Amino acid sequence: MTETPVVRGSYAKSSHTRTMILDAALNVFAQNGYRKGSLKSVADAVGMSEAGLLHHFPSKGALLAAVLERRDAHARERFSFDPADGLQLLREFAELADYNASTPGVVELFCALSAEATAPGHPAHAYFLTRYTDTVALVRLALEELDQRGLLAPGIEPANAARVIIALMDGLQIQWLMDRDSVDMAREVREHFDSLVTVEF
Amino acid sequence: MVDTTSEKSRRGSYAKSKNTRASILDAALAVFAEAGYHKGSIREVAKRVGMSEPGLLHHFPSKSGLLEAVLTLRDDKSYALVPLDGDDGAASINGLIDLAAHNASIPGVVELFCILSAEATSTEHPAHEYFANRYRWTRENLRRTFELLESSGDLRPGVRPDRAALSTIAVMDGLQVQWLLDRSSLDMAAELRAFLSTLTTLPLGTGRPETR
Repeated sequence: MTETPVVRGSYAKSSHTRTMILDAALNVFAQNGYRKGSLKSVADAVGMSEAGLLHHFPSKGALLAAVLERRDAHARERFSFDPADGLQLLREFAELADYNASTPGVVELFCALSAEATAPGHPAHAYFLTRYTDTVALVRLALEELDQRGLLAPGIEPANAARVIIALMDGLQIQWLMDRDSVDMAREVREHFDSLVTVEF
Repeated sequence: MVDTTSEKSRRGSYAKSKNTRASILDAALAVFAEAGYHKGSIREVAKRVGMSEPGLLHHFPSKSGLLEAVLTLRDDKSYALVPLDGDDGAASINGLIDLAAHNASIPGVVELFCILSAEATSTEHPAHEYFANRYRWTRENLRRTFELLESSGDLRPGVRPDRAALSTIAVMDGLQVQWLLDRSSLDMAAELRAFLSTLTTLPLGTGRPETR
């Protein structure tokens, strides 16, 4: 006798479908850019109709925001992002910059959406606000940990340095998207981290 | 850029057309700065200069063309604040802090710039060339600025002018995103100043909030 209620089964299935759609969308957008990457090609990739897909994500905008959340979830699986080991966290951020360079379409999506979503009325505003607050706080904790161990370069203030690190990573993405040959994002990020700490980075 | 040659010859008044363009651009900058690019309408711009919409479109046939002209105008204003291609490295670096402080007084323009630079990374975007050139120019001149500081012994050890230029631009762009998301979360000029002090030993100003 199974106790699993119908509703729950359908929820689990729906959640599985959402995940499938998001992974397909990540691929499609990463390869073709998010502007060219159509809902239809995402629907095709999961063997659905466009209308069926829209049942799960009411608009391309909603899908785009969910894709970025999914990307964050993937990153959390790959990395520990544990501020208790500040050096390790910075290394993970540099690796993330490396990884991002392999998915230009998603970086493009992130840049454009984060800029649009700075407006308080934007549907993804809350998502980005939380994301930035959390990310800056995480990096700040990591830098404070380094500071406590005496590993921060003189004059480096964790709160400022955390905001600057996030700003640098965002800003490098723009310049890299403009002209990919002109910038090596991960190298610049590592170089910057190297200037923040007193140990070999 | 919009070609106004035919307009000039038809009216036979270059100065008049030039004045009209200038008023339209001022109004457009104000409208985009208040409402952002998407909500800022050509109609509202036309209304502010007392023109019809078709009359305005005669000078700037498209919203994107108008936008590009507005950005160029904004650059001219920034340039007046920070003449990055000058020979006084200390003045240029301090000018960047002034610019960040000034930008905090024009959030709509910053928003416009932020959204557009992100959109325009796509080579098909009408403002792509404009932004690509702008980044090249800024990076080149900022590199030269850091080289001037290097030769006067004002750079911290290990700082390389080309990379300092790249990262300074990135930090300024990135701070704008964080500031636009939550203006109470940071002071762009103060954050930039702290960042620049990791690159140079020069005494740095705190940024004059309104330099006009």
